[in-house]
This record gives sequence, structure tokens and C-alpha cells, in this order.
Amino acid sequence: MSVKQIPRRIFTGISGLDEVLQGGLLSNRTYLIRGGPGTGKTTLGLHFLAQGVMEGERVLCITLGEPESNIRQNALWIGFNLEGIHFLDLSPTPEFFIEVESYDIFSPAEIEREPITKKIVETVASLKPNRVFIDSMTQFRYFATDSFQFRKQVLSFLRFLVDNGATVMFASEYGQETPDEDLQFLADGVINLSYSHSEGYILNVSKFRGSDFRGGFHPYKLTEEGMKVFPRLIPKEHRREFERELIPSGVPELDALLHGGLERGTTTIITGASGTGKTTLGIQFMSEASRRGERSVVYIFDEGVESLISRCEAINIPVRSMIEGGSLSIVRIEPMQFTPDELANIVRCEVEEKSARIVMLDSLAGYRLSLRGGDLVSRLHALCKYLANMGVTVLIINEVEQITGDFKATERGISYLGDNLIFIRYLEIKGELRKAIGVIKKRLSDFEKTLREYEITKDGIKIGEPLTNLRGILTGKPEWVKGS
Amino acid sequence: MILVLDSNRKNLELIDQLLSRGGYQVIKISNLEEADRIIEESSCIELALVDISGFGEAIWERCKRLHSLNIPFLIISPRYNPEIQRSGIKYGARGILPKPIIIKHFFRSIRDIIGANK
Repeated sequence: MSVKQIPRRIFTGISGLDEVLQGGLLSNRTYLIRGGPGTGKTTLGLHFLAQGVMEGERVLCITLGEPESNIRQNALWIGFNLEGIHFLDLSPTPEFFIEVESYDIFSPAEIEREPITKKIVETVASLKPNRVFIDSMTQFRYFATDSFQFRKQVLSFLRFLVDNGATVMFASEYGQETPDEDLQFLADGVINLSYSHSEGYILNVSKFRGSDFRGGFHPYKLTEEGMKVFPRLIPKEHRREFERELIPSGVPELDALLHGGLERGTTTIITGASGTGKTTLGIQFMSEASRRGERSVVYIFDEGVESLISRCEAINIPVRSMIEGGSLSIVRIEPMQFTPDELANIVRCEVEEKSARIVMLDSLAGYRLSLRGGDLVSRLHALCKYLANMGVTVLIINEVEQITGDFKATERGISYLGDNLIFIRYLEIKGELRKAIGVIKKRLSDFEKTLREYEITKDGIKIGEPLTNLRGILTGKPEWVKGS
Repeated sequence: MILVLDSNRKNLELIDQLLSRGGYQVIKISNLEEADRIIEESSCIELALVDISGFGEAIWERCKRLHSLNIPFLIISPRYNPEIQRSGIKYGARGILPKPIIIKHFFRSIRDIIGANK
């Protein structure tokens, strides 16, 4: 008897995957999970079933390859509670191997299929599962005498399950020896899992009948808590209403230089040589934000958290109390720890769940060196665009190698990322090493065209009056204008 | 009554299960001596299924005997082999079934000779 229902969205148990699927799977449909060995097909299936148990559904795991005991053991390691999941273990028993004599008169396909089919039919009829996971459908291939029979059998099997009210997920191990195009045609949805040394684990959805889905490749991880999917950030899908007001730094001279401050929802590149005080300048904006009760986050790639805290405390920027008060978070990103999309998801969490209003990446070189995978600049571009849409002010620290000599704002062709470009540089004046700060670009407003002296003292950032009587500042060896 | 001669006990079990389920009565035999005895003693054999694997040339003598007693028989051969086919026809087999036999064909061949199960 058919108990077909109007499809509704059901969660997979993996929030990132539900996002890729635009809200989850459609119920009473069939989904193929493809992947090579070790890509997490069973883990994904268990998430799907565990989510069903959590929602009070009846769920069934049909295993044909791995025995139930192995699956339970592996699930324990990743902290899964398999209670409530009904298992139908159809994997071969050790006796199969011990029996020396075997039959040859009929095809094993014909002989083995029958008892297996009977067990499945009996279990489904008595349990009436809402969710079924089959691990894996590849085994059924060996029960069919030819590919036509296989297709017919799988189609009718899936139909039987769906007609009995189930949403079905079935795994397939594919390789050159066992192509599975036929299964892709049969399923309502196809989720592909793969692993490569350079990109890590990647998921993509190649088919989802009756629903839109987020295309492209999404990284995922197999962690101690199971599978985590990090949907690729598509900036245009995120937007928040915000007032494009100016946020001041709290240092009057700096705000004068910027004609009031930085606009919300813009990206500012702070560029300069090593030791010029770029990070401090960024933190200054956050300190002022903290006074307004706003939250900021710094992602540091190059230095340790404690070192940054000590540096700021030494110049009277109270970062420790800001952290304790919840208005600042400093997050250290270890080399090769994340892909750009994983980092983007972490940033999204800060913005969407913890209402961060300023995000600083320190530094651009660190970002490029620390993150895994290719296409880093375009991923950073997407992240900045997303933050802009969400009204977050972004600060990117960019270190230039050149300490003196002719001026060059950035060395990596990334100026286009910034709406605003602030630079700090060393100057030699009368044999003394000094620093100057200036603005090269500010997309949304005018700015002061002269430079000012920039100094970091024990009381914080000090910025002087406009250096109107010096010329050739950008060469690094300025001269006094005659008559001044 | 169907006599099944097969040196592989697993095959015997499997054929027995299938035929019994199909409503046929079966006599299972796995060696030639026993086969000789049953062929001579039993008068109600309607069909014999002879899996020639594992018996050597001696199996053809039994085929000859079955034919002379007017007991129809089918040869089960390890694979399609024209030599076996020729020998089978020579000794009076009603058909050759190469392994693996498709179950549907297996029953059809039996029905063609002795009609549907009782």
C-alpha cells in the first residue's frame, strides 16, 4: 500500500549540508551518496539516521558490506548515539568463508538475492521506517545477472521503500571497475564526496530533483563529532540592512585624516613595512568600537594571542578587559588548519551569531600562507564582499617588504580588495627614523591629502599635524620646503 | 520423482530446495555406485538431472543406461562445450544446461519434459 506524501524538507543532521541543499532533503525521495573509500559515506548516512531518531522517526540501516558491530564501534568513536537506529545486517558472516564447498550450478546473483530481498521486505513491512540508509547499493550489483536487471531491481527496490513512506539514502562505491552512472540516473538527488591531497575533503551536489541547491565544491571535515560541511560562501546570498555611518578611531587626528572615520561595510587595507604599527592601528578602531558596545574579532596568522595582548596592553589599549567583556575576540589561525571556506564559516558564525561589527585579518601574507587549497585571493574577495553585505567593517593588514625607498602601496596586486587604503611608512628626517601615515584611497568620501607623523607611545597612538612643509615624503627621504 | 546426480553436495542441496519448493519429489545422489543401485531399483523416476562434473568418462555409461531404460535426462555441463553437447546427444540426453543455469530456464526445461509439478 502506498503512503506517498507531499515532500517536505527534512534535515540531514549536518547543518552545513542542509544549507547546501537549501534547507534539507525533500522527504519521500531517494538520494545517492557517491564516494571512494574513506570519504565518509557511512558517517553521512548515520547523521541522516540519527537526525531521524532525534525527531522521533523510525529509521533503518541496511548494511551489506560492513557488519553492524563495526559500524557501531566506529560510531562510538565519533560520539554517535546509535540508539533507536534499527539495523538489518546483511553482510557476509565468517561461516561463508569457512564453508569450503560452494555451489556452482546457479548464479550466486540469483541464489543470494532471494533471502536478502525477503529479509528486507519483512523488516520494512514491520518497521515502516521513515528513513532508510543502504550501505551500499554497490553490493546489489553483484545480485543482478546483468546491468538491465540491476537497474530494474534497484528502481523497484527504491520504489518499494518510498511507497512504504521512507526517505532513502543509499551509498555507492564507484571506481573505474564499478562505474555508477546508472544509479545517478535513478536517484532523485546525488551527493558526491571526494578527497584530494591538495584540496582535502570536498562535497558537491550534482542533482537534486524538485529543489534548488548550492552548486560548486564545498569543503568538509570528518571530525571527532562526525561530518562537518562548510558551504562555499556566496556573498550575494547574504545581506543585512545597516546604516552606512562612519566609525571613528577615537584618535581625533586620525579621524581628521579620514574625514570622520571608516564607513561601515567597507574594507580597509592597512599597509606598511614591518614594525610600523599596522595592527595597533586596527586594534585602535576596535577599542573605540568596544566603547560603543560593539564587538570585534581579530584573526591572527602570524603572531601568538598572548604576544598581541601584551603589545596592546603596553601601549594602554585595554584589550584584556575588552576580551573579558566580550567586545573583542582574538583568534589564532594555525598554519594549514583551515581551508578558506572553513575560515569563512567561522567568520560567518561570529557575524551572524555573535554580532561582530569589525573583523580584522592580520595579515594578508599569513592568510595566504596558512590556508590550504588554491584560489585564495578570490576566496578572500568573497569573504570581504560577504562582510560588506552584512555591514561589517573589514580591516586587512598588509605587510610590504620594502622599508624605505620609492613608495609602493601593496606588493601583491590586492589593492582592488580595499575600498580604503591607509599606509604607514618610515621616513628619515635629519638622520632620525620617523613614521608617517596617509590615505591613498577612500571610496565613499573625501580624505586629507597630506601625510601626518605617526607614533606609537606608551599612551597609545599619537598622530601629528599635517606635514605640509615636507616634500618627497613618498621617496622616504623628504626635504623641507624652502622658506618653511 | 526426479533423480539428481551431482558430486557437489552444495549443488545437490540447492537443487533439492528449489525443486521441493516447486512441488517436485527429489532423490539426491552424489556417487556412481548409489546411482547404479537407484536406477536399477526405482521404477518411478520421471526425469534425471546429471551434473557430469567430477565423474569422469564413467558418467556416460550411466547416461546410456538411463536412455536404455527410457528415463529422460538432462545433462548439466560446467560450461558450454561442443564436445559435451555431442556426447550428450549421442547418449540420448534431452537437453544440455550449461552452468550457471538461470533458475527460470531450469524450471522451464523440467516442465518441458515432465509437465508442471503435481
